[in-house]
Amino acid sequence: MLAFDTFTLDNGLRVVHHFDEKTPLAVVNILYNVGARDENESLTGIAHLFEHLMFGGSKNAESYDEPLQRASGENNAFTSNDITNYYVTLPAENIETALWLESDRMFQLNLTPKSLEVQQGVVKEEFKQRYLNQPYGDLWLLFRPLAYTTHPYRWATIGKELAHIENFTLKDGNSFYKKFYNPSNAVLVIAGNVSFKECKSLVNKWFNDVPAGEVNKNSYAVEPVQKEARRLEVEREVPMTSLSIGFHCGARTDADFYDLDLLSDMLGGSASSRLHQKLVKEKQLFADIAAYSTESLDRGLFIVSGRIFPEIDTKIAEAAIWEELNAFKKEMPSQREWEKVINKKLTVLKFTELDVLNKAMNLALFTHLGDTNKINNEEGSFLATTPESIHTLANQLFIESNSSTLVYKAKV
Amino acid sequence: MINRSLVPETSIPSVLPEFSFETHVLENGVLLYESILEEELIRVSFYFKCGSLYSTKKGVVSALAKLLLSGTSKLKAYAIQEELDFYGAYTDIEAGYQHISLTVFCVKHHLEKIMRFLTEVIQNLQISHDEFHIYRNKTLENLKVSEQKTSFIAGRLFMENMYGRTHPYGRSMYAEDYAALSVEEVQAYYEGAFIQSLDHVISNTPLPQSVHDLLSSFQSQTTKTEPKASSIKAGEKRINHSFKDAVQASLFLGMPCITRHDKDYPAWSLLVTLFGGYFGSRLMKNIREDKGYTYGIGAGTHHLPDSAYLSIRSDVKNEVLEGCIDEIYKEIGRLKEEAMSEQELNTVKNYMLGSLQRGFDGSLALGDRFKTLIDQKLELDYYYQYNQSILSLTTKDIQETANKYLDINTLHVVTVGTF
Repeated sequence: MLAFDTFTLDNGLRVVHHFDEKTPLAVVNILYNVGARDENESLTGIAHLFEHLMFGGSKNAESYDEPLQRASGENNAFTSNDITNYYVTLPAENIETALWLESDRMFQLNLTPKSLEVQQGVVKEEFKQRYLNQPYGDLWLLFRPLAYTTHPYRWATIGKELAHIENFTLKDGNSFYKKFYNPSNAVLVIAGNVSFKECKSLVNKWFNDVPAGEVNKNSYAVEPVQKEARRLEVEREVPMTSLSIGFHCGARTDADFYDLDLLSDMLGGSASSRLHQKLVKEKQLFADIAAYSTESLDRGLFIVSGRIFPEIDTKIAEAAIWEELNAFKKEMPSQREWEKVINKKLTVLKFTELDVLNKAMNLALFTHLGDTNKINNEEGSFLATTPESIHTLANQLFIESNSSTLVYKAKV
Repeated sequence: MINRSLVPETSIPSVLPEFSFETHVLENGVLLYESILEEELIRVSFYFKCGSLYSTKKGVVSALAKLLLSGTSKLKAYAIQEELDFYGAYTDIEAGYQHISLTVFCVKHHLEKIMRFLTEVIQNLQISHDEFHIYRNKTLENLKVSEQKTSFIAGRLFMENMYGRTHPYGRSMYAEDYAALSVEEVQAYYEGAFIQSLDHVISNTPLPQSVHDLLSSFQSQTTKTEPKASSIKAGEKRINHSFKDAVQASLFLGMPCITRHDKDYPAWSLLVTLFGGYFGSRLMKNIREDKGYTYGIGAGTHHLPDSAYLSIRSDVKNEVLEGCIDEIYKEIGRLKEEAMSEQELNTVKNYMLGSLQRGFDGSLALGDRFKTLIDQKLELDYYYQYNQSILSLTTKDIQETANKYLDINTLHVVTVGTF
């Protein structure tokens, strides 16, 4: 049970506090309601580029990182298709430094031509390092536009192409900042060895005078129901052909999310899972295989993806995946299999409770999803699933016309 | 309106929590180190003193590690994995130079069942031809994937070049080495070396007597002297490896350096952090934040059983590769020629003391630090001494350390890219 308190400032900033006296540390986590889905298709990758610009200093703090390092802190951030999340860990007694820095960059960020130019260079190198200079690195850049035709999930957070990152101007930066980086569009979590009283007084002190600004009310193009199977085959200089099949599934907040999560565990979550056991061990078709869902805020994807041994015919490997999916649809999983994935999940839940940063990030996410209390219902939500409910979901998902298949072929 | 230009006061985290570990010497001589913190999530690590330093044939130790849970005369791999998964256990097996380590995570409730089961499995390993075949094919294909990464090739070339391809630190696996590896050799190493090599166990929480008894059932004859890695036969100072169609070039520079046993280590450690060990480092500021040449560049000290080396790594634009190496040399020159400012010294110190504090937060982190003490044969008060030493360092100390140990002529440089 994770105990927490919440309050909201007049400017709309939602604040969550969690006290943990076992740690000497404090975590400050700020989630902004902006991600790659908020981008325009002719200028993608900018939510992530903007995350880099947030480290360029603000009116009263020439550098963001330096004062934080002087306060013995460490920080980082990530951008997803849905959100941008910034986090700081530092000694609890130095928490005010983090609040000063975070409030100052929320209030009056320094956006300079130099900062923009350098970060455009850095992000272009990140694009190359992570997506172009790695075997299979562009797999998701290909898969997203195959599975999504309409919704902005059809591009990745890094963006569709390098040119978009180059085309981003200071003017674009200023309007992006004005539109999304507002207290009314953010969730602030303070976790660790800081009392509620201190949290409240410091948050009031540093964030009260930040103007409320706009709330992100973007609505996103609804992905039409997929009517027929899609397929893309590409050839690359890779040793093994990779096969990925994606199925449209529900959103993170849908009632069947917990069924979906356990379904992926049964299929590909561990060494004893079905796909691994049958296709890697017994039939020896794949060198590795996994099943997971994208856990996105709008309707997501359930992915089965594996790499096929060079001597194996791709068609045979593909048919073998479908055989397992069809077997799942036909016969309900046993009580024992359900219990197994539940037990694995309970270990993971206990693990996440150990770490104050993890707790802070989860509190921010659940608050953003609409109900912080649900963080304490996770175990119950998993236990409320049944072999029947998971079986029903599999029958809804694993339909050929709901599938997108990417064959990422090894050049011979 | 508050005055935002007033920077909040800060203090330095100067006190580290104590190592709350109890040491038990079990009947068979195995050392059990237990944290006294009560935890629901349990992590137990077994250390078998039969790492790659003990084996003359490359690949045997890592194969054994990967196949350690692959079957017994009674149980097939699937049955083992199914049972461990059923009780919610996560396992991680690593092959190191000194040890093969087996780590298990589970909830308290299932601990005894899991430990009983794992003990049974690892005391009776029987590797089947089928499991060995699967392991070999998978690993071979994954090696081919790694070999398509410029950074992987750079790291491999660096170690081979600095230590020599027959040295335990410099030998790496190639496709033909997998073909030359047999299941009999792996099984023989298990029976000849592994089975009697349990040396110590680290737990993040007190373990019940029944688990102590289980651990006492292991054979443990680890008094044999530790093999020393042969001396370094350093190769070329500069290797440029051509790689087809690389979008970026990988850069790996390094040299042997002092270990934590050296009195200069705290100053060295601060020097390396200043140079490339944190986001505000000289290298990051210059090469990423000023020039935008890379997504990241870093320098760090890597500890080996009896030695250590400094590494400087980055993936950069092909066309700025030489410029980047020049900038690295320039930064080394600056460290030697100019004393750092008091302000920068304090920033690095505070950052390092913060990292140390985070490294002591919670039973898992404490276990990791404790492992370092054992692996590197350090005294229990090592980190407290280190902490104090960092606090007392001066800008003069750092400059002297740079002059004493940093020499661009001793650096080995490996570049992998499309030139």
